[in-house]
Amino acid sequence: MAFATDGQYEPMRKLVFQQGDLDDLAVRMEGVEGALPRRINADPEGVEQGLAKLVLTLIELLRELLERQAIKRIESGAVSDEEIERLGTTFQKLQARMQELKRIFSLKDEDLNLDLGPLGDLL
Amino acid sequence: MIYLYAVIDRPSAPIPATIGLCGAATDALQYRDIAAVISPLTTTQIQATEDNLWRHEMVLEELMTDRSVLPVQFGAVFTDELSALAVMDERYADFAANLNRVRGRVELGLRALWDDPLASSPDSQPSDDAVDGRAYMLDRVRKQRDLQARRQEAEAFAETIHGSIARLADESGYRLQVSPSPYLNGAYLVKREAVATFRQEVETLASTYPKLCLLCTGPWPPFSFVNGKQTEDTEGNEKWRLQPTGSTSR
Repeated sequence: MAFATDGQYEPMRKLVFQQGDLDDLAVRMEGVEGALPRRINADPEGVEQGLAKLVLTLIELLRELLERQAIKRIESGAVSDEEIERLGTTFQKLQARMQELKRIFSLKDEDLNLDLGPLGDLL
Repeated sequence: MIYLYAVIDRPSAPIPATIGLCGAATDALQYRDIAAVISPLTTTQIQATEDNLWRHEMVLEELMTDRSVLPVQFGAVFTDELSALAVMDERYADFAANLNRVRGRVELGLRALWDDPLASSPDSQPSDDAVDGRAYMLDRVRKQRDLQARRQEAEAFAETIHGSIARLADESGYRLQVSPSPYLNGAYLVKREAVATFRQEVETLASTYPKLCLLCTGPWPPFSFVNGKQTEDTEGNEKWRLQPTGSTSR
């Protein structure tokens, strides 16, 4: 039971065991569990940024998928030097454009991260 | 309006006198041999504040002391008792089966963080010298290979950690994040009487790997072993669903 007799919550009662610096863990838990934009911020002032975060996350997901597909093809040796150059230039431009949009909406790289379960992280 | 905390067994035994959200006393709404634990609400908007979340948790923990509990995710509001009973009717078989699954068991959580020996460059961006398209692309290929190697290394170690304690649990599962450093988040459904043994095993794990940052918490209601999902039917009415997640061991 995590509660004292007066009904006040005492989180430390839930601690079974710990080792190491829990501050590191706390930072990580916050980062991991807050990564996914579960809800759009519907405040009038924040809604634009909330929507931008959602849309840019989806664009980033598509960009990553395309890039990973290209990497697979390159590794299989099925892509000529010329095509590698062209693919690289395209992805570079796409990434530059994404950086610009992130700057406009004051979003950081980690804001667009997605935990894709068994597939790992987006970023 | 009513607020739903949990589905429980042993409805004939009185539930502990607990104050729920908005200071309202909790009550049991019996359906066949199970019951929904509810309290009246005067609002439809329950804010997910720290106090409210702990209040919800407190109700669950009081219930856990002498019966099986299927915890409902914070924020389940029904218009009236009839609508809650309709869900109990619709999902009765699932609820009864899940109450049997979690009977006499509690959830323990384990979070572990460790250094990645293969981590060289946490930066996922291309190097500055990747000035042309070809260099950019080859840089990405190299980084992808590095990440793959790191992932395999992390997965193998996660299996070691998880495996050493999962054998004490009836069901278990974990999620692993590889970047920026490996982070394991595991949940274990453990018989109440096995909690002390589980703790000893975590201590052994800690002494075997002294550099591991570990946090073991509990006992919790079996949140990770029932999956609450609020959906709407075709008429837009809210329905509360509880579904078993089963074992998610990887």
